[in-house]
Amino acid sequence: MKKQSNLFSFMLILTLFVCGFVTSNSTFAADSDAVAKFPEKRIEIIASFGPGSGVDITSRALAGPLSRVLGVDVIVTNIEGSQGLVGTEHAYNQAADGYTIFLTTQTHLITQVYGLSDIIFTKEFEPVCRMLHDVTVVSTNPKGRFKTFEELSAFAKEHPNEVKVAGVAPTGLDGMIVKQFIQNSGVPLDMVAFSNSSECKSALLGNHVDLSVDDIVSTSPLVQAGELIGMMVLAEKRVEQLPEIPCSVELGINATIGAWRGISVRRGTDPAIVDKLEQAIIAAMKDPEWLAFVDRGMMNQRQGFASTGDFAKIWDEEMAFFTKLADIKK
Amino acid sequence: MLGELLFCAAGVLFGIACVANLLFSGRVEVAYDLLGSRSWPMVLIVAIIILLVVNIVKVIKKNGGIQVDKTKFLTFGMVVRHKLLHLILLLAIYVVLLNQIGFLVLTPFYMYLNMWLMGQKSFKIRVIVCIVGTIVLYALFMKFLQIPLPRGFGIFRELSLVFETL
Amino acid sequence: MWAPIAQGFGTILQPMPILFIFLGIVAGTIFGALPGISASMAIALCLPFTYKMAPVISLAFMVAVFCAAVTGGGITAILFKIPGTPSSACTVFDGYPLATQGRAGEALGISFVVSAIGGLFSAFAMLLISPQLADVGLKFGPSEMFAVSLMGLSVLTCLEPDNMLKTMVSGLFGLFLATIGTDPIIGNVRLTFGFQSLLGGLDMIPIMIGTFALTEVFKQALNPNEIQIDSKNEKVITKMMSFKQIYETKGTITRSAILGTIVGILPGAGSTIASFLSYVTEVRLSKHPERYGKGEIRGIVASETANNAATGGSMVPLLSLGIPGGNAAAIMMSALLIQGVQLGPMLQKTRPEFLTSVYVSMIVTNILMVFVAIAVAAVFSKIMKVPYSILGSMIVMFAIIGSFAVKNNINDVYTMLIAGVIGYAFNKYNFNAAALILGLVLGNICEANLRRAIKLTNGDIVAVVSRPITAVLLIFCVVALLFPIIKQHFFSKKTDNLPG
Repeated sequence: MKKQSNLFSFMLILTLFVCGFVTSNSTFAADSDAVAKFPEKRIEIIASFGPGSGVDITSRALAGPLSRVLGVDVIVTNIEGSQGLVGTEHAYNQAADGYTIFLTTQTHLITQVYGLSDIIFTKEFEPVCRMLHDVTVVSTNPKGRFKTFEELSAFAKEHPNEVKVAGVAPTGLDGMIVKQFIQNSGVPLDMVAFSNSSECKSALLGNHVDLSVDDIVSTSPLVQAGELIGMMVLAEKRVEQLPEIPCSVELGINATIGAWRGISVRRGTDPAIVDKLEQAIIAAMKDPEWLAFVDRGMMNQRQGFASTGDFAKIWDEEMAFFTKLADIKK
Repeated sequence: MLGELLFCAAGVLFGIACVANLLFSGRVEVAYDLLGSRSWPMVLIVAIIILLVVNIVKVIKKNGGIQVDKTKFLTFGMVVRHKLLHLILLLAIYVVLLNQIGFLVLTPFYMYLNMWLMGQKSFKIRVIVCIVGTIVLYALFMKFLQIPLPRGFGIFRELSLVFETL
Repeated sequence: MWAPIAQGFGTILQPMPILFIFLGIVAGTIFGALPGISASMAIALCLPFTYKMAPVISLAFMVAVFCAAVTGGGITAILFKIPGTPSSACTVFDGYPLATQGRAGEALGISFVVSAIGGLFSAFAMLLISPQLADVGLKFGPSEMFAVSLMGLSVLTCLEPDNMLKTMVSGLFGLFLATIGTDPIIGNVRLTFGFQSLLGGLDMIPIMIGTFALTEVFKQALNPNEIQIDSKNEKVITKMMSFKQIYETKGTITRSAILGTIVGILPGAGSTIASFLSYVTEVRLSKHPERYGKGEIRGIVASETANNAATGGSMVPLLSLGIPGGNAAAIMMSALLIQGVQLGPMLQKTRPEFLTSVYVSMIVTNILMVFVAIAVAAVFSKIMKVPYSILGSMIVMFAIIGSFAVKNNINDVYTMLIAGVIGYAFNKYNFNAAALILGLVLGNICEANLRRAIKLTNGDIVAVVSRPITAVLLIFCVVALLFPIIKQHFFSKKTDNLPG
């Protein structure tokens, strides 16, 4: 009995001691020798979404080529949860030495707009470069209510919120895509949120919704098989693989949001290291493995690459844009 | 009996806190969403509160009033010596410190103490198992399954990184 | 139709493909048994090996990993009360009690055999009527899914007829836990009390691990006399299910296989939901529902048949439409994309032998995996003989790492700890942890789909419930929900009924 209570007090003291002793969250900046020799050890790509997600497969597609360019191991670590916030927090707690890089997508900016996290993404992270810019396609069911966009648009204007469009994440990228579309086309659609893009497609194929927004690569087999009709692609010009689908801009609708993916690092990383990373990624993007990935994923429809400076501008522009867009529908 | 009453009472209090949270939480609405964000959880939590209160009443009625068995009353000394509490506390401390100290360094200590608490008398066995166990778990989950077990901060982080590149 | 099937057999029944399938089964079973390592993680880890294989073989390999992982989850569920995969949560309910009664070998044998039966059933179904099944699946929209989830929840009144009040509280609490996080329709933040880590909601795996494994460790630590003394002294040898047993449970097996296959096809439902729905259906249809949860073999049969049947079912939308039904399927799809094969409706027309090869590989997998599972179980069951002071610590470590591994997120370990404490209280005060898990698993589907359904009919609730499939299912539910309450209220002579 006495032993137990001694043990108990011992544990209490130990806890207090250790908690007071250990420091948390240190952002060591590298010294000049480390900068010159970068990279010396393994680099880790943090993917803040789970296996099978767009962020995840992009990370894995980048890892191989990047590792060949830099001559060190590049591994991908998935840390998912809370729409990417848990992974962000993990990356935030790593040293700003360039050995932890973060796969970034608009969702990270959008969660900042909605104020969901204490970590202000654009303040704590800085852009390295952007690699991809995907195109969104709006599709409908040939057995559905509307055969053409004109029909749909006319009906929707008479009956606002009765035409249903399926998407994922109402406070995420799909939400923004739909908001922009509604705003710039004047067609009052009603977004119905589903858990993932497969459920959206199933809902559309089962004729439970009228429209769905999705990326090209997963929609195009269904379009080519005639199960779905592509109503339009949200881009400035038509997509190569699906040339019969009009683009939003030619229909007079300035709605072109599509998922982009890039790399960022913890703010405070030495600029020389950031530069090295950018150059390495540019070289990696010429690797045949990467090119095959982009080709099969149909992600080369528009300029994906953006340099460090351009990417930073994109962050600023899109933050302002999303902030404005988010306010409108509130 | 007292334990159950306290548990139900704690549940009711938690429920009330949730009701308050729901009443003051986000009010964004969308078209044709008759239920809204709040209705469903509100109905659930109100139902839970009502049923818990009913249960409290039932238990009291069954026992003819609240009877406090003085001999079973937990004194502070007894709480300190209660084995279950130690187990939970040890586990809690382990989890809290895990991110700070990292898996590799902290786990042997935890396993040693846990085995001791659970009755393992032999010192040798405790030491062997905690070290071998940590190594096996590390190899299995960190190396083989590539799960990024916590590294800790400061010197613990450096130490963990050394082992990771072995 | 038969030519592609013959081609499929021809492609798969060769030494190399069989070898790869075998390796996939071994990997899958082990990963499935390890708690916190889901089937999709297992596939993600095996992915690099597939790059060297031909597309058909790599898909066969991944499917083998998938099916074996679902089976492997039952091993640790029965032996250690930790479901290796969430689809084996229901196996815990009756599998672990059997293990404590010294019948672990029997439980394992039953689990493997019915897993194979379930998997084979759905493989044949896929082979023969895949397009029709896919069409059925698409008919299930939000209102139908709501009705399905309600059917699952309606069992809450008959799980413990004598303890309805606390069972209801447990189930409602599970439903409530599922609402924490962001609202599925609008994105509003609910009930996080400022904790950023709760934004994504509570994951069911840490809660399952906490309420099952951790609670059990706490219990055992306090009452060492209750340990499985019998099975500690004898070797746990997997006893294959006898034909007599198969015949006796043929009703359960058939119902679970059909239910599992169909649920697997539905969008948003997979092996986990399938096993829960099957389990509750058997409880409801049984003449002795009180036996469930104490070692009723039909409990294991229902759970394990359905979860394996659902693996076949979930491949249907993937292969016939190119729509992955879950994470595992999504990974398979991207793996194939890397190899230049795009899954979609055209594949059935351009390369039908591709699909039939996959179905055939499932058949092979489900047969082989029984033997592999027996071997893996033998290894795991040796661990059972270790003294509990060591075993308990190892179980806790697996519980911790398993919870962490779900999303590589330390918050899940906190969740598990709290769930363990609450689970202990539940156990002590006679609440029902199984009901809690049921509510948690079905909660999101229930609420999200109800609200979607209302949105889709522009607020017309009558229209929601009068859709054909929905109406049928809902009538079932109401009857099932009210029947036990009415029965007890009007026909029972007990005095401590629910008031009113």
